[in-house]
Amino acid sequence: MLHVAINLALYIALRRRITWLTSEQGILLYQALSSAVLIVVGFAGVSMDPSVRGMAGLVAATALHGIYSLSFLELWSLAEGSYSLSILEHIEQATRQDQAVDVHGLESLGGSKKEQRLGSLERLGLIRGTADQVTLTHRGRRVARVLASVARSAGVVRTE
Amino acid sequence: MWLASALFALVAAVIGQVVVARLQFGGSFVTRFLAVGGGVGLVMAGSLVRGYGWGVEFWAGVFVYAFACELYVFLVTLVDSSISVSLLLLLRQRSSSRAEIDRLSSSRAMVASRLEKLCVNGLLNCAGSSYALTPRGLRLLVLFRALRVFFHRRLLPAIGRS
Repeated sequence: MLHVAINLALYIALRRRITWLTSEQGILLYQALSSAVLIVVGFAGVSMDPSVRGMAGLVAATALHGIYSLSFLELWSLAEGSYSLSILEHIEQATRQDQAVDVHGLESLGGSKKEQRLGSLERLGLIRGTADQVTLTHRGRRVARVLASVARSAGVVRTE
Repeated sequence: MWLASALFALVAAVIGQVVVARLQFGGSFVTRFLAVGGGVGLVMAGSLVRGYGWGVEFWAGVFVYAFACELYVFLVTLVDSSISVSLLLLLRQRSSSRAEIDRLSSSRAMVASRLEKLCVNGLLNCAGSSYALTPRGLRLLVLFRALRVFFHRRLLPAIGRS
């Protein structure tokens, strides 16, 4: 709990000075580094006095940090403005200004998000694009297989 | 033992959610999983307390279960709504040209699908082709804008009806 509190306090103090910490890469690296420090320090402590309870304590601390980091990343991605939240924001502004919802504008926003995501997937090495075709890489196929299993387990049917 | 309990409880929660979904009791995935997962978690916590009292093994089992559940919910909501995941699943079926990708995952269909989900989730009031935020949708927007100020220090636009 103390480590999580220090993580949050440090982030609040540093994000005004290091704007990179507000980017996706920055946040991922910050949380990964924090987890690594916790695991290394915890492991060092457990190795000095090995016990089942000590290992359980390390696992508990790591899992708690995992809950915090995942929640942190989810809140950050909300702040980035998902497509659904962008739609909500547009409808709220249109209602406040007594204007009609600009469905065409929303479609254009969706189109540009799609282009951005294709670029990101290519940078992550999950897809490969030639002039004519876009295909999954080997890594992309593995990731897609896992995601399809998750979708099946939850009964999610993608209609878009 | 506590680790095995946590992992077994996660599997039970996932299977329980699938069964509840098939029985069509209604509700979103998150509501169903919170109900089923919460129940399974309480049973698991009860068995851990009997085995370890309120010691560190109990908390390890509870936190591992909670983290695994959060990760599962995160992955499912990602699969359900992410544009990137939609593209990956589309390309898993076959390679596609850019034009085909645009046709198969058209922006019009994306908007229609999102609007429908927002209405089903109680964030929008939908009447024909007109839409308005519900109080719940407004609260979510307030949270979203506060988070944006926290992470990116952007100013908050005004909220509320004129």
